[in-house]
Amino acid sequence: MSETILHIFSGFQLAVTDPINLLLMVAGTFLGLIVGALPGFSSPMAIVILLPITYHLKLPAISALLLMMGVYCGTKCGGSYPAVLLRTPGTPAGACTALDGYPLAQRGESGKAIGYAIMGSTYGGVFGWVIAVIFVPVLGKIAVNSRPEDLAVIGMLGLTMVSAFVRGNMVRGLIGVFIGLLIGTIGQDANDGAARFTFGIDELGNGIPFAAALVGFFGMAVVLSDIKEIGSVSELVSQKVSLVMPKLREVKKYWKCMTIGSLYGTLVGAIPGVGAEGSTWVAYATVKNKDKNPERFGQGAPEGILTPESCNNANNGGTMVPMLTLGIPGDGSTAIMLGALVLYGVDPGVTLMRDQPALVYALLAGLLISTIIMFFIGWFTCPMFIHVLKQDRAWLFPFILVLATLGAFSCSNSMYPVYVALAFGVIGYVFELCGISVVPIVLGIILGPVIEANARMALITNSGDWSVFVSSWWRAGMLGLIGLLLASNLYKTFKQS
Amino acid sequence: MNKNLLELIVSLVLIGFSAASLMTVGMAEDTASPFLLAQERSLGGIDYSSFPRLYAIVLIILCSLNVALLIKKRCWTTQLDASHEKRRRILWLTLATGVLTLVYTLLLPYINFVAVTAVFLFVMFRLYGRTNLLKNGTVAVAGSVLFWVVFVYLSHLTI
Repeated sequence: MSETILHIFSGFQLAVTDPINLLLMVAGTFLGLIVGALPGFSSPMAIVILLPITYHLKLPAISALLLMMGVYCGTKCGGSYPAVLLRTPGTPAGACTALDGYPLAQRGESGKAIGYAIMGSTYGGVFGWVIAVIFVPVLGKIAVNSRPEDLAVIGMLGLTMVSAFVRGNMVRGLIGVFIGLLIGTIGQDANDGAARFTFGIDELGNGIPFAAALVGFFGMAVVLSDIKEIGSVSELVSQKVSLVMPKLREVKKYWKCMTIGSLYGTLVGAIPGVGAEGSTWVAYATVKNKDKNPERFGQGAPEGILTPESCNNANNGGTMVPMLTLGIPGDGSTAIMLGALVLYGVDPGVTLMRDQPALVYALLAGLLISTIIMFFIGWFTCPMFIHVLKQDRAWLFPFILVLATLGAFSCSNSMYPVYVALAFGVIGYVFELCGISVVPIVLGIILGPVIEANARMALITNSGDWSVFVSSWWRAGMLGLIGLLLASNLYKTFKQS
Repeated sequence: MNKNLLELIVSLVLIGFSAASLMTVGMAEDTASPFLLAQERSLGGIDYSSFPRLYAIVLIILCSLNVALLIKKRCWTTQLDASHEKRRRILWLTLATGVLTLVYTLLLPYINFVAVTAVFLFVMFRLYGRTNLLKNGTVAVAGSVLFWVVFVYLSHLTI
């Protein structure tokens, strides 16, 4: 316990004593708020463009990750601005906020609505941080003693959960996962040196440049998908917004709904691939059903804003738990952060807590600091976001494409990653049109090599004995859970069809 | 083309892609270390080709299931939700964006960065319906110069 507290303090020390880190967190949070406020733009898109650029600028790994953490935290809160003022959420997770935020704004209380959103986001962010700080060391200690066969099964469970909970049906989710797994096999095999699917092309010997693939999926594909929004004009409910921050007694009054939202957010955040969207609706429905006057909801009830916003930001803390202890990302943004760790030569697997505890705790410190920065920036720069919301995507999309091109180029100072990014942009766009989400594909690319390497290592160290994967009760249990998830969701898919 | 029909086509393409992967994965044998390969095969019977083959086979099965589900749903009869004119416009804009971005990336190594980026931005603004040519030109040039300063001059990107 005392060791954990010491680590927490050293994490804060690493995050704040360097003024560059502090500046990057402020810049990242500010950028995240803007990205979140723009409908159609997302935190994975912003983070993925920053990733190769920060690497090229030779920023230390922790500085780059703190910048991304700021973007990650800011985006969730930023999504509430268009939800309240335009009835159009800036992020999918902000859709629920519009239900009560927009009616409240229509009554001339838009400043109060945004104030509730900022308060809820901050409460949820701090709650999520507390959960992460408690569970990351505990799970980390368990994970570091894992054997290769454990890691292979954990990876398989992570991919199964992603395909089970991603939007659409499980068949599409599994297709995405296996596409990612197959793409992940491109390149030189780590065990015997065989050049798989390279066809004599030298660049493919090192596999698909991961950062370029991410830029394609989350940058270019999103632009192609959102072209249909160009030209559509949203009407702001009020042109002038003066922020009204709720008083402390209101925090005491609404603590229950914010806690319920935060609990859902952290729990769901810890499950890979689910994302915050689903949990906000469940939390909203729970709070509404428990209320004495549920008919208030949908008419501008403060709880209708506080609950989903706290759920949103608490999700960030939840996603940190599997990411930092098992190397399994909770959502698209954390998948990119894991990619950043790989790019910087850090192994993001179960040994991360043991080998780089300073990095882990600095990231957790960054989560809390970014949440606090988000509160102040959201409070003082509210009028600026009105201006941001009025911007037409016709101006922004071409700049996104240029930024994505530059980001991909900076992976290796050559044009090859740019063409990879373009190809993956088109592929990602086509898949999204078909209802195949790119998140399982990305997770398949990340976890595929981990699963394969550990499975083969397990067989080598156990003289080719396949029963090693069921030789312990908890491995057998996890495989059983995988089987159950697959069977029940596939049955549901076929029944629905 | 409706989304379900597109999904059917993509699933069929993925089946072909997976079958091609199955046939070509063995080509890597020449590049593998014979000693390590023999050792691996004696322990559990797996080697460099086992996992790609497994993934390709499962992908064929899943895509075939998806094709069967779509055919059962008679995917080609699904009503589209947007007007024909609107769909044509979106498709044209999407294709144009993709082609222009490709042309931009092909020209980047040969033409000055600021010039080609300014032209790209200008054309894209016009494509997306911005009609004020002076404003388009000003923003395009200013944006290109800003990118050059930040990424090429300050960050030494050798583009």
